[in-house]
Amino acid sequence: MSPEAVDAVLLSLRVGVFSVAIGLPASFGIVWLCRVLPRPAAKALSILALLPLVLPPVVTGYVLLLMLGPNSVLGGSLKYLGVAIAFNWKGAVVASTVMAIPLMVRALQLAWETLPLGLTHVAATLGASPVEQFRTITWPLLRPGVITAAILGFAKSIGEFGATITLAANIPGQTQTIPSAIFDLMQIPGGEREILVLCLVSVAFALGALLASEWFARKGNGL
Amino acid sequence: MKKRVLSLLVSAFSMFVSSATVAKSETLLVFAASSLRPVLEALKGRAVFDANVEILVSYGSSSQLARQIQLGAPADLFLSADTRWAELLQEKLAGDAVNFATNALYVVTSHSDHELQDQFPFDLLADERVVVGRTRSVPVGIYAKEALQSLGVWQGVSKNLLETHSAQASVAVLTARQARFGIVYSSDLAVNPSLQPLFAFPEDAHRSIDYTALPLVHDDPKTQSFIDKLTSETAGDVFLSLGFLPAKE
Repeated sequence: MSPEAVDAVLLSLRVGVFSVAIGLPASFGIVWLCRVLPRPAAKALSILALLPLVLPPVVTGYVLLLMLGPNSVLGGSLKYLGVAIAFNWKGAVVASTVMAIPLMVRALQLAWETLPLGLTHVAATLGASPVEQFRTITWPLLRPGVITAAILGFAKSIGEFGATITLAANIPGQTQTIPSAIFDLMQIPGGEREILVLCLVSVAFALGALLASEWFARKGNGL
Repeated sequence: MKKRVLSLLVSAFSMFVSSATVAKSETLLVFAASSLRPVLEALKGRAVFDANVEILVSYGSSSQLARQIQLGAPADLFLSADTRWAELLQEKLAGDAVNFATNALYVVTSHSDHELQDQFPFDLLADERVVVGRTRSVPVGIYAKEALQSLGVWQGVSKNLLETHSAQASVAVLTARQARFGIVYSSDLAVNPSLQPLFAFPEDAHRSIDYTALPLVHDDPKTQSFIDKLTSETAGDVFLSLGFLPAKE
């Protein structure tokens, strides 16, 4: 692998880790808010969070660029504080996180909806505090869903292309992820071998994520 | 077990954070027209540029790169295949534009059963796919459209065009033999022996294909040094050997 391809793989991994680290708590917060907010607000929040799933990724990327680019109010203020998002690896994290959140929110919503609410009520009548209820009932039942969400989010964010290349561009060693490296190599006569290597790396990551989810699922059932 | 997983995650996380903040030696971020890839990689390979500056090049179509610069991409230098972007980027420019090479336009084929012709091969192209950069946005496509129009064959050929998003993307389609004909630069011909020239567009059929270096950072020695090396005699020889023509005075 060329040094540029190695950089792309490392950056994709870094983007994946950060996207899950930021996106999973955010998704958790969104799902929780959707359950406690009044219905119209919950509906609006849910739609907003799921929107990137159905929008063309380039639209999501462009909107993010308009919001976070150095010429925008928000991006300009961040730049003043020394934080660059657009055309920076952090932009790749932001784009991937926004694209991964719908998947994580969906997975968490499904897990939450299947929670048998009766159990916590029973626990409450037996004197369990809300913290105890969460620790002993809600969390163990929710955990497989959280793990699924994390793995889906990770897999999505290491492969996200459209929004990432729009917000972060395609700068080797800085913002070039695996998909944008493949896109770049497709324009180089004779780039086929390197493309194949990066495709195999992508397949390996995808399989790894699936196997990990299987393993966690089995482990979860054994409890 | 849980603690071990947690500590592993924490250490992985801190590793990613630290690797993100380790400063590399001085870097120069160059946005370059895709057709310059072979020559810039050759110049980097021959250590023509300063050894203590890491040169990162993002290749793309000049129009797409110009748009990114306009939106605030942190490039130090823009090497464009079309001087018109200098006007568009006026307020971003941090110094004089320097023209450093020119190029010529060819109709080429990916199959070897054709020979170079004196006349535009309209009979061949009228019913075949012709690969070219986007004729509205990518420089090679814009020049190709001008040339086809001035030869009076645009009407006939335009319906067959397969437009790609950069000059190099056209070459990649041709070398993979996914199309028979295309319009590319002489520099593309020089580094891709599988392409055969079919027709050379006369120089006056289109605007002069001037490559221009646009500095985007004020008083930056490493940018200036890069431009100096790019316009040096050593670099000039490499440009010539890879099918480019000298810059016009």
